[in-house]
Amino acid sequence: MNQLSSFTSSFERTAHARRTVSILLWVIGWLVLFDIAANKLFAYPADPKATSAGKLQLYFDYGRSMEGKLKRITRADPAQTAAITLAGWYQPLKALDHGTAAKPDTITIYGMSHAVRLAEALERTSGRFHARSVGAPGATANWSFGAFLRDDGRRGSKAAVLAIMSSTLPMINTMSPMTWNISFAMPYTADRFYVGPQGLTRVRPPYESFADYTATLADPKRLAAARDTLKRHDAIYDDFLFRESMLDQSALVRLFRRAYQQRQQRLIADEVINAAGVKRESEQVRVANGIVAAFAAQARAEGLIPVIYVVNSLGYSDHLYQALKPTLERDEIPVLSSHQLISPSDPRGYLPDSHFTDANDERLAVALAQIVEREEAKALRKAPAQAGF
Amino acid sequence: MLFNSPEFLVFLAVVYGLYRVLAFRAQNLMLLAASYLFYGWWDWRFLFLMTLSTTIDYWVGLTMERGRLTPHQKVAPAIFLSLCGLFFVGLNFGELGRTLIGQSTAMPLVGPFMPYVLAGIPAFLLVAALAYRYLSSLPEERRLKAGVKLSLVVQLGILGTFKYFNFFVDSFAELVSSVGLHANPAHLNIILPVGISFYTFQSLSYAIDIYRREIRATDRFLDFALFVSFFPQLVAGPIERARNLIPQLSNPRVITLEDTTRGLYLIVFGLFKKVAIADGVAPFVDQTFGSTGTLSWADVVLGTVMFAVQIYCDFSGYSDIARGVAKLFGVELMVNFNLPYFAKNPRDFWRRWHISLSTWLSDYLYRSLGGNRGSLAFTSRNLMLTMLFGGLWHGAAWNFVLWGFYHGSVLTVHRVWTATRGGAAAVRPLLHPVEVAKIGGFLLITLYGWLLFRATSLQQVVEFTGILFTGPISFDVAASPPRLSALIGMVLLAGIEIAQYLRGGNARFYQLLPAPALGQLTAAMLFVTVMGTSNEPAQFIYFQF
Repeated sequence: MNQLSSFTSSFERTAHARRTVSILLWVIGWLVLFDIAANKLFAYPADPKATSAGKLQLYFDYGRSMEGKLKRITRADPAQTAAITLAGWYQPLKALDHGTAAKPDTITIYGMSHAVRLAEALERTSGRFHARSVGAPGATANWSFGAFLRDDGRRGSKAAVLAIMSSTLPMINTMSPMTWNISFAMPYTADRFYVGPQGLTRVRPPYESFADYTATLADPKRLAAARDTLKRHDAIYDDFLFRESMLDQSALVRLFRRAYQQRQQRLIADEVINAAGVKRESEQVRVANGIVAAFAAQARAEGLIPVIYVVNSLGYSDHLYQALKPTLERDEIPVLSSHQLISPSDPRGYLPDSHFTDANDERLAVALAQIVEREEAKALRKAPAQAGF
Repeated sequence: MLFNSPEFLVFLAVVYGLYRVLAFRAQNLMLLAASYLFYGWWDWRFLFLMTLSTTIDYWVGLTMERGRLTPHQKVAPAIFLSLCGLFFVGLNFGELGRTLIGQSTAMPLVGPFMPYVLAGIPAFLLVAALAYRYLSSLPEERRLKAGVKLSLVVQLGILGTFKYFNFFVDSFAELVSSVGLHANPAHLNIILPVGISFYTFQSLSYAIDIYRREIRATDRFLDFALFVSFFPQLVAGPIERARNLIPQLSNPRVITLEDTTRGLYLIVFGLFKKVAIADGVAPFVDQTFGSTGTLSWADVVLGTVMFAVQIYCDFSGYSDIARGVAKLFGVELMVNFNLPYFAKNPRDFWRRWHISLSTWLSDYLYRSLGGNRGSLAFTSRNLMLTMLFGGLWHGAAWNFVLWGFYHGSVLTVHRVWTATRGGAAAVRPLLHPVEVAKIGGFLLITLYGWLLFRATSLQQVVEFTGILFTGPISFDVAASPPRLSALIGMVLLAGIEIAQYLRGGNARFYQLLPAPALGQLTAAMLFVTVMGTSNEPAQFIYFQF
C-alpha cells in the first residue's frame, strides 16, 4: 500500500496536517518573494523621460492603475514630462507636414499611427500630393473626427482622409485611451459621439490640453470631477483599473489587474467585433457609421474629397469594412480598405508591432492617390452637366 | 463554463460549500443539479439530449439485466425526462430565468418547439413502453443482445445525427459529383452539443458492461444520471467507466485531507498547463495554421511543435483539473495522461495519451473486432479499424480520419516489426542514449501526426508536408512569439516531467519533496499561471469533440 495514501492513525493525520500547513506557508512565502523579486529585478524606470524600459519591465508594469502610471510619467513642465503625455491633445492641435518638397495638392489624414504611416508613404510615393497628418497614438475614430472638426488647416487640402481601425472599433464610445489602453498610459482625450434621432451629437471631454490635464492631475477635486465625466460618458471606464491604490505595489496584483482589464475588454469587443464577425446593431458600429457619414458630409460641404481609410487589423478579416459598407455605398463615400490590398489573415503583411510593412503602406498610398484622382475626375465630369442646368 | 473562468471559481466554491454541509443523498442531488447547471451554461437546450440519453440507458440497463422494471423505475425517469423536455426545449428557458430575476426582455416564455415537445414526449414514451414489452418478453441471452443493440443504435444515432450527419452527406455529395453526377444534399441546421462524444461513450460503456456481465445495473436513477453528467469530467473526460464511477457515486464518500491537498495540487497543475502554456502558445499556432500567406520551413516546424505543446497542455490540463475537482468531492477519476511525449513506440504512446479513450476503444471496439486473437493481418486490420474510428471520434473531418489512419499505420508497422523481430526488448537505464533516441525518434512521428490533426484542410496537409520535406530550410518565422508565461511555463513543465520520468513515472513524486521545495514549485506554477491570466483564454480544444 502506498504510504502516502494511507492514514490509519491520528498521528499520521496530524503529521499530514502539519506538513500541509507548512507547505501552504511556504507557498505564500515564495509568492511574496517572487513578487518582491519581480518588483526589484524589473523595476520600471522612475525617470518620466526614460522611454526605453525593457520588455520585462513593461510586462510587470502593464497592470498598474492608470492614475499610478500617469502620476509617474507626468510633470507640469513639458520639458520634463514623458513625451507620450504631450501627444494627441486637441488644444493645440498639432498637424505634421510630411516632406518639404513643393507639391501642388495636399491630402490631410486623420487617425492613429497607421494614418501617419500612410501619410509618410504618400509623401514618398506621390509626385503630386503633399501629405499632412493629424494623429494621436492609437487614436479611435471619434478622436480623429473630433480632430477633423477642430483642424483649421484642413481647408487648404484637396482631400481629407479619416482612418478607422477594426481592433479599436469597440472603443469608439470612450473619451480617452486612459480608460481602455491600460497597458500604456496615454492621457489625451477625445470627443464622445452619440447617435440619436437628430443624428450625431457630441460631448466634449473634461479637458483638451496638456496644461489642463496636469492641473487636473494635481488637483484632487478637479480629478474627481474629471472621473465623474468619464464615468458618465465613457462606456469602458472602470474605477478598479483607473484609480491609484496600495495594490499597485504588488506585481501579482498588477498581473491580475491586467488580466481583468483584458477580460473586460474582450467581453466588450466580443459584443462589437472579433475574428468571428461584427455586430451591426452595437452602439459602436452605429456610432462609426454616424461618424463616417458626418465626416463625409462636412468635408464635401467644404469642397474636400472625403476618403475613409479602413484599417483591417490582423485576424479581423474585412468585418469592419462590411460594417461600414451600407453607409459608404448609400452616401457614395470613397473608401480605401486595407483588405483590398493586404490579406488580414497573413501575418507577413504586417510588422510585429501590428503596423503594415513599409511596402504595403506604399501600396496603400498609391491606391489612395488613385482614389483621390478618380474622385476628382468624377467631379469634373459632373461639373459641366451641372452648369448646363 | 470554463474551468479557467472566474464563473467556475464561484461555482466551485458554492458547490463545494453546499457539499460539505449536506447529507449523502442530498449531496448527490445537489451534484446532479450543479452538473446540469454547469452543462446548461453553454446551451440549456442540449440538457434535454443528455437526459434523453440518460433515461434510455437507465431503462435499457435494468431491462437487460432483470427483464423488468418496477413502477418507480418506469415512472420517475419518465417524469424527469418530460419535465426536462418542457423546461429546456418547450419553454424559452433563458427568458424564464431573466423573468425570475426581473430582467425580462419581453420575449415569449413558450418557445417555438413546444408543440413538438408536447407531441414528441408522449410518442417517445409510447415507443419506449413497446420496446420494454418486447425486451422483457425475450429470454435472457436474447434480451441482453437486443438491449445492447438498442443502446448502441440510440447513442450512436444521437452522436451520428449531431456530429456526423452533415459530414457524411457532404462527403457523399462530393463522391457523387466526382463521377459526374449532381447531388444537392439536405443539411441539418444544427450545432454540435459540447462534450457529446464523451458522455455518449461513457453511457455506452455502461450498457456494454452489463451485456458482458461485468457490472450490475444500477437501481437508482439519480445515481445513474449523476454518472452520465458528473460535471468535472462531463465535457472533456476522462471518459469514466461505470464500474469505477457508479460505486463511488452510490456510496457515501469520505474526503481526507490528503485527497483535498492532492486535488488542489492537480487543479493548480492543470490551470498552470492550460492558462500559462496552452493559451500562451495558442496565438502562435492559430497564426501559423490560419495563415493565407507563404510559410517557411521554420513556420511549419514551430507551428507543429507549438501545437503539440498546446494540445497536450490543454487536454491534460483539463484532465488534471477534472481529477482535482472530483477529488475535492471524494471521487477518484482515472488518470488520462502519463508523460505521453516520453513514449518510445506507438503502443507505449497509446498507453500514455488520452488513456480513457484508448482503453475504451481497446475494450469495446478492438476487443469486439477480435483483437489480436488471430493472424498478424487480422490484428493489423483490427488496429487500423480501431484507429480510424478513434480518428473520426475527434471530429467530422477527413484530416481526423487521416490522423487515425496514420496512427493505425504506425501501430501496424510497429506490430509487424516486433512480431518479426521477436525476443524481449533489452532493459536499459532510463537515460541510456538508445532509450533517449527512441523517445526523440517517436516524438518526431507523433509531431507529424499533430500536423495532420491540426491542419485546416487536406490541401493544407499537402502544402505543409511539401514545405516540411521538400521546401528550402528557412528559419524565418512569421507568427508573433508565444507569450512569456508559455516560454517560462514550458521550461518549468519540462523540468517537472523529466523529474517524474526519472522517478519511474510516479506522478506523486513531488510529495516526497521537502516542504520548502514543494512550496517553491507550487508558488512558481501559481505565479506563472497568474502571468498567463492575461493570455486570451481559449476554449478547451477537446470540448469540440
